[in-house]
Amino acid sequence: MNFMTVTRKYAPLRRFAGKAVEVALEAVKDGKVEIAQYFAKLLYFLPFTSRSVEKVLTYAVIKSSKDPQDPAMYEININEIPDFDPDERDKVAQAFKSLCELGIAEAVGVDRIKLRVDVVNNVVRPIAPFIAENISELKKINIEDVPYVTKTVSGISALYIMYKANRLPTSFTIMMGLLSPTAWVEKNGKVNRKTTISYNEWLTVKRNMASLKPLKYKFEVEYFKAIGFMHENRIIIGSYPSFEVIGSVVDLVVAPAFKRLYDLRRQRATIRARK
Amino acid sequence: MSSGSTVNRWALKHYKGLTEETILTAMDELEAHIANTKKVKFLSSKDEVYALAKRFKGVLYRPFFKQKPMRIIQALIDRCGQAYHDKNPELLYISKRTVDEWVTVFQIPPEKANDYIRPLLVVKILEPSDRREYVYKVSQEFFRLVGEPAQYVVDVRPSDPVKYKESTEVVSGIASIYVLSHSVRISQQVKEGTRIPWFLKLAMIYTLSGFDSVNNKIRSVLEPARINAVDNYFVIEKGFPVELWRSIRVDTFTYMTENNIIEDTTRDGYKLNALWTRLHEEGVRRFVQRIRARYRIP
Repeated sequence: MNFMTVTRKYAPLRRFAGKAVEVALEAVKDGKVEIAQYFAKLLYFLPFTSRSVEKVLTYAVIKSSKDPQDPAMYEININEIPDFDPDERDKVAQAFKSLCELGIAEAVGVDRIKLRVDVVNNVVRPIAPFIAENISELKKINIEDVPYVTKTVSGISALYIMYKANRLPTSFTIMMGLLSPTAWVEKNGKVNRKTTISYNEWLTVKRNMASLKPLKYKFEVEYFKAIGFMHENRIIIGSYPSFEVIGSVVDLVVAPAFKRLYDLRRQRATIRARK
Repeated sequence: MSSGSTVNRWALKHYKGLTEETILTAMDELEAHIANTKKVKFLSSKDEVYALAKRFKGVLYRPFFKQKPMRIIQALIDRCGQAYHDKNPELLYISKRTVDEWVTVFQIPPEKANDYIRPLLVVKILEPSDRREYVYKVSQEFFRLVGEPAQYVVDVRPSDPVKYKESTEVVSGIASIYVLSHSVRISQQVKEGTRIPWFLKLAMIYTLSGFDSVNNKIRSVLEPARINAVDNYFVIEKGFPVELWRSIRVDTFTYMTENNIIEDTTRDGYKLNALWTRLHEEGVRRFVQRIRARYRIP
């Protein structure tokens, strides 16, 4: 199973990208928080969320990570969120509503929502120590660390929203397809990985995806966005003579996602054989 | 965690042999993929070799060579690129006139010209010419490795700044590995002190110290405990001067971050580049093989 399996048809490609989100979130839960920064600002690409959702969620995450033990910190009021004018309350209300619809928060009253417990466990706990160290403690000055934290928060919230909503932006799906040549699974289930993608592989993958029906009309734009995203977030660290992908993404996202997909296929095959 | 489990004592003890073997491995890999002259292959493609070469970028610009031979090397690399691009092997020959030009433009005192050119002959970038009308010739081995990526350095297209930058990195890395491996070979024959500069050697030692003998892998995260254990070994047990060690250490970390050997900072430590660790795993494997052959252990 290699990149050809994934990129020739839309269903496996979409499933692969979905698995990648799952795997990345699990890595975060296991304490490998550094992976989240590579998905920062992905929220802008999500077709179904507005900028307000990001603001509200970021605020909620930062507030609750000040003291993850205290349930009162999970609650936010419509009036306490900074950066919104009083006449923009409908925007906040809209964001609250979509957060509730996504299953990230629950409404606890008029104009009040509360982050759900699983969000706190999955998203807040892993990053709480970083935020406490770098933002809340006024004595510490470490300019370098702050962008890291913001990127991490942004990345985790994007991943979590994608996971909960079970919808992916097309550019993300295409990006995972472009990264897929970095890992492959052998027949015995062994996962191999490398950190370079040759021009030929890149072109093959691109050609495969461009001819997929669901992507056909928007491929050019989304491909452009995917490339920009990868460069901006340093997923690709070199482009000549081959594309070089950062090792963490290969190790923690692409390779495990392939393994998941492989296991899923094996399972299905055995079930089919038993029937 | 005790220092025994964080750091591989065996690797520290044999750091000299291991680092040398790793450099030779890198060189063999270059030759195998780019020039097709060797068979040892642990990397899958030429792309990976080029990416590996980038990790060695700029080694020569550091204390390895003095400034003037460095300039001659750069002129030679440019020449190789042009020769490859125009498919003109004539360009690889160097006449007396060119040597005189080097002397004037690089401001080399004429009586010392030989001192500057001899190191290039020693590391086999240049060799004596086989034609009477020329003095030197760029060695075929060097040309084969450097020519292809160097052609992009010569043939700059204004729309491709990224490609230009990265091809210079590749060229610089290949030249570094080339010179390093030849000087290691020479030092092994003559039994002089080896010529791997310390900032590079220490970067390699940090990597090698994470070797796990159970599964023959190197831990890809460089933990602070491991760094400390290596430092303690050299400063306390081997008695290196502390101030010297400090300066080497800073140099090493600058080198490692600039060349993307350290890719990422994680909670446990620095994440090392995968190709870099794989090179070292292969280096260890070959070192062990060599020792076994020497003592005839089956």
